[in-house]
Amino acid sequence: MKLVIIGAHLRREDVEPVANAVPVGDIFLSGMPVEDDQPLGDRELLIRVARLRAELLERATFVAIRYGFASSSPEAKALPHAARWKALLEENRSRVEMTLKIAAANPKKRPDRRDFRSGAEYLKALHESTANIDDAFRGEVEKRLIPLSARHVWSSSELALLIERAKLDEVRAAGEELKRTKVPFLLSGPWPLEVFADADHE
Amino acid sequence: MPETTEELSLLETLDHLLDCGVVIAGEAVISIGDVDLLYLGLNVVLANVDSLMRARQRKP
Repeated sequence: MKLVIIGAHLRREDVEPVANAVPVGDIFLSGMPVEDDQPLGDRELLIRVARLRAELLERATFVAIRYGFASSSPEAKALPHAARWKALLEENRSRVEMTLKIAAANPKKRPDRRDFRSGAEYLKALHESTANIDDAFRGEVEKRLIPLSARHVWSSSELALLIERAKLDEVRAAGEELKRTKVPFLLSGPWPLEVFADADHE
Repeated sequence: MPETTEELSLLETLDHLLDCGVVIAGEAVISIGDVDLLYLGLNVVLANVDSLMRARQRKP
């Protein structure tokens, strides 16, 4: 039996009895037990893990561990990160993430892979073809959404927001207001600590 | 393209599951169908373009 690791949590009761709790330093990993020969690419397993992840987030905010790490003894791999995750969890226990994905303004023609020598050049062109956001919409986002966030990170056509749970309804209401702009977007969440758990964003 | 809100919600949930969060080990093997992909390979295959660009920008 192995555990598909879902997240890092501050308290054991944040994990149990919904998932298996694995102590690592002063925190706990959540894991879903699966057979050793269970392929992690299985669609049904992905959906089960996604649902469990949502259930865990309802209990308390946690640091999301990207899908794909499965082990019968994950402690050693996670231990070097435990102190940083504990500090993150203590600082952000009352917060969750929301994500805003915005359709490109005047999207350029999608690039053709055959026109590029390398995959990297193709990805760069693909990124640039979708990265321009309508300035007026960006202004509306900066006026309505960003003031509701504790922190935010723009990355071309996406915005990650760190939101107090108590403000989630206000954020959703601001999202409704943004619909008036007619710019296609997707405001989703709440999510566990994902972007803001990444050391590169600190 | 997703046709219903429910499908969109599932897609977005799976996108976050596969694409977001911290990485603590890079050698886990994931199988899709009969193909075993290294975790890094899966990351490249399934990550959205923004995430890929962020990852590239982090590299020196």
